[in-house]
Amino acid sequence: MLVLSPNVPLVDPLIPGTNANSPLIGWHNVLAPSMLSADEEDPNHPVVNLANPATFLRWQGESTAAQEILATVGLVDEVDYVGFANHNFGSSQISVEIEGSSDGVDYSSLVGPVMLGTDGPALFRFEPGAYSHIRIKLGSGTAIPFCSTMYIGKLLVVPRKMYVGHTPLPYGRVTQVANGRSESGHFLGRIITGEYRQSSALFDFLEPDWYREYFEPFVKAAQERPFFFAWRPGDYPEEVGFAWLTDDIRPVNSLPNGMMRVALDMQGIA
Amino acid sequence: MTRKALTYVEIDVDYCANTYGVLPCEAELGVTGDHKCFNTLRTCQDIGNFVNQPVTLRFAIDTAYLPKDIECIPNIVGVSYTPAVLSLGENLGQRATLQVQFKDHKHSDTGPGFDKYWSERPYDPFKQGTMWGKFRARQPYLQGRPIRLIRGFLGQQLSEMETRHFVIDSFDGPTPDGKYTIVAKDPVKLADDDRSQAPRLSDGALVSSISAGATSATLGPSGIGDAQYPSSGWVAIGGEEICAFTRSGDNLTLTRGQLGTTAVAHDAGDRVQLVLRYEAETPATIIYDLLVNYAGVDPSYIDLQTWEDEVSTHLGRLYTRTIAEPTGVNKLISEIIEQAALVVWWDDVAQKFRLRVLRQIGTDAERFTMDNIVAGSLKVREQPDKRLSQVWTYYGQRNPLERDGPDNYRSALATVDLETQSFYGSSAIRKIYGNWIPALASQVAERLNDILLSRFKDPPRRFTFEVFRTEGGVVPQLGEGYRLQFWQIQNDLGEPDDIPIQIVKLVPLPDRFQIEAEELQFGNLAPVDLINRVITIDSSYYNFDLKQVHDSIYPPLTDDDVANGANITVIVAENVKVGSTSTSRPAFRVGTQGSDWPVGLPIYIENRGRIQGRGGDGGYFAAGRPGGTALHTRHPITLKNQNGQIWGGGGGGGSTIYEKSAWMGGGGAGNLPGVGGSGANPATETSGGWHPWAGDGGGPGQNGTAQVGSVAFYSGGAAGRSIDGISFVTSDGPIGDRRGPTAN
Repeated sequence: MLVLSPNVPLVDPLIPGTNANSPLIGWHNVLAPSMLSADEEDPNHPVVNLANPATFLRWQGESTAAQEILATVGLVDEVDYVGFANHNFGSSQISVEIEGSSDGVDYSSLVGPVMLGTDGPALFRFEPGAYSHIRIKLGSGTAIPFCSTMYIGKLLVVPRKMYVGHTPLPYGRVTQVANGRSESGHFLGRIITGEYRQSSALFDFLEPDWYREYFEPFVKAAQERPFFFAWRPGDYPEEVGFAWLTDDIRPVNSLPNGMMRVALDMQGIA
Repeated sequence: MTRKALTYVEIDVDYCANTYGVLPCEAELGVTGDHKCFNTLRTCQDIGNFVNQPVTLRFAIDTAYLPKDIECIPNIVGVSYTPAVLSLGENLGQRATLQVQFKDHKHSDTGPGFDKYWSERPYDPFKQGTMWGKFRARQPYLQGRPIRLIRGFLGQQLSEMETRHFVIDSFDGPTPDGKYTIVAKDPVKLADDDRSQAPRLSDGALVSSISAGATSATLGPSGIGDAQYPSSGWVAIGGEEICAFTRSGDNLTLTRGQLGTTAVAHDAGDRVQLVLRYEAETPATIIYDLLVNYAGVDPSYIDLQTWEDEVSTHLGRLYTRTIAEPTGVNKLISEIIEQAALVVWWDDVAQKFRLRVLRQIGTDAERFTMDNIVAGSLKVREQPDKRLSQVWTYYGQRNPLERDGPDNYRSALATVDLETQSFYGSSAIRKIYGNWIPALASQVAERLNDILLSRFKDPPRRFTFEVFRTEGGVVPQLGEGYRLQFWQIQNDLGEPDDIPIQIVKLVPLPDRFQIEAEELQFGNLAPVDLINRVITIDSSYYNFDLKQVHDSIYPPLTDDDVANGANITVIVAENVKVGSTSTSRPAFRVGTQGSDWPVGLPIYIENRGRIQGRGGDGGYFAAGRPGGTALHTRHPITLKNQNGQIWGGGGGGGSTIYEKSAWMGGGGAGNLPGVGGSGANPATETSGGWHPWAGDGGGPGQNGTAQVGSVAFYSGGAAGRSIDGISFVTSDGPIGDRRGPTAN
């Protein structure tokens, strides 16, 4: 789910061809465990768990009351998104609002509050800026809130849009299925014994300088960490995945002018 | 409806409830260690105050639909399950093995069972080390800890899922390719011969040598008596002789040469091994004791009352054994499984040991048919090697210290199915050394033979097939009985046959069960008969006490049993001699109405052999001693003695004195014969001993005599009674060969 601030400039004047449907990759993350604090944290589910990409390790509050998570990120990098993976904000009807501050005292709303429709990976995109503090305000809900992974950083906007041949991660189901049939021909049932999401994305004609300056850092980071991926955010804002590579990214020089082609093979949660 | 399968594994690891450095924990940074512990045994710095409060860690096979409300670490690469294989009526079978392989990954050390002090560490736990690398360093003591395999479907609560319980046996890893593996077994493993022995090895030894006649001995090293030996019991000395003992400190008072062994001299240093003896116990009691007290099985794993109900309803026999040397518990249990026709297995779902007597499977049992067996999965295998036409059971072990073999048993019972044997064209013999079956328990041996022969006279078939995990369908369970109906299995009319089967192997997969089952036919085996209790004396016996022998084979009788028609028949077989070792004990004691037996209990004795009292000893400066009683009863009996002999012991001959010499009279005839004087012809079972200058011993049922005419002489002893309690006896037919007086 992509949640956009009304102020977000969807067209990057420095990168020709970008618009609302330009693919977004949320790999950049300035968070560290020491930056995090929360109004509430279950002793077995501390807030520091948000700072690692493992989706089985979670932060969890202690009540269903409204509460806040504070990230003291400093003023070093410009950031424009907060991403959440493996949470219950949608199913527990917990509103989410992102606030920013440059001094830790006065906060302004960056995006939201919004009620997410699902528990799938969520990207909150807002106007780029350098903030010393990012505050996540969670409304009261029907269950104790939890979330496994949170990224705060700067989105990578890919100048080449995706049109055909792509399977959005939420639909890239790979299942192992057993169908039972008895000796006399009766249908005995159908059991899914395993399922995961798999997809690939092909980007062609990437400017050689752009690739080297913006895409290569992502490639390096993606060798170790998962990333958020929205393939066509303008048309399909709900189709956001939290993905990890299943193969190396090896760019190919596809044109004599140095344009690059690159494929991402990935699995993930959606 | 499509269902989504889930697989979890839980392990319970030791974890200290204390907080580092907070009393009662006396650990101190810089003193007991340079960093805080991880609340595990391996990292504990104050072991004396380790308070174990085990923590459950849950793992899962990763899927996109793992429910978020069941927290887990989704790092299982694979689960491999080698199922238990039941061995019906043979032994403890093959244990189940669970192997779980995990992938290694980073972990923040947060959460139950991990690092309580993660926030105080000078490093980021997520970036330092890996989950299994750290786990291996902190939790190396996994053996014996519980592990559970949980399978279910999305939408179920964890408690609703199928949970199978095992015990961790070993682990491996993490390997260079990032794998960590745990291997677990079912608790039957605890009974393996290399893990548990009964009785336990005793460390005591004789401090000094003892002669064959010595009745006391001292144990060494000093203090071992109180440390390892009870106040009374049995010991095996030097692996040669069993003695009864009472103990005070390290000093033993011995009754030598017991339980089929002979008193011999022993050297200093000969080991003194405590003997384990089960006397007239049910197989349920025996197996429970072996598993709990010798294999260390948690008693909560056994529902003893259910076991007792099972054996009392379907077996109704008692077993006796002397275990003179440490023996593997698996071996001991396997032997009684064979001799009582049982099956014992670990029910990994119920977390219980199950015990069942092999028996018919009802026609109302759940069925596997062509409608619920997965297409193409059924395979049938003939097992001709399992056919039996004869079962020979040896019973009444002579000497528990000697190796098993025919020579070490008093009796044997062969049951033969000649007809089926001739149909198959060859014999197929199975020998069983019934070291759990007491002497005279021919009915126990017969029941065992009947069960085995009825089950194996036609070799049982083995079936393998698969059953899908259909909602509301049959959920197969290991060890349970079912019916199998399939077109491939036909009767002589070509109709699908309806076969009773017992599941001996079950592989639970996420979507289906793989089943292996054995045909369980019992032909025309009669149900267990506890109404007509028969005891056959088929070999010579001394001091026969009906009450004692009955209670060593059958459960004690009650008024209710009598009201239900219970009765006892004792048969003294042809050529068998029942005697006595003392004139004060009858050769055959029936017992007393009201105390030994319920009032109204019919006891029928058919004597085809000889019941004979002991002969009286010859007198010496005295009259001959009276002979012993043959049959004694204070309970009404019906006696058939048409072809048998009931002889009182002959009285001993009187002593004679002539000038300065005295001669001892001859011993009376008897079994055993009375002892006569030196130089006299010894008494036998059929004639009294005689001496030319003293009184003769009496023949069977005869008084001893005096040698009249000497300077002084003494009278002969009185004849022993053929029957003491004649008013309790009703004869069935002619009274037969009865010698000696009777009394009321």
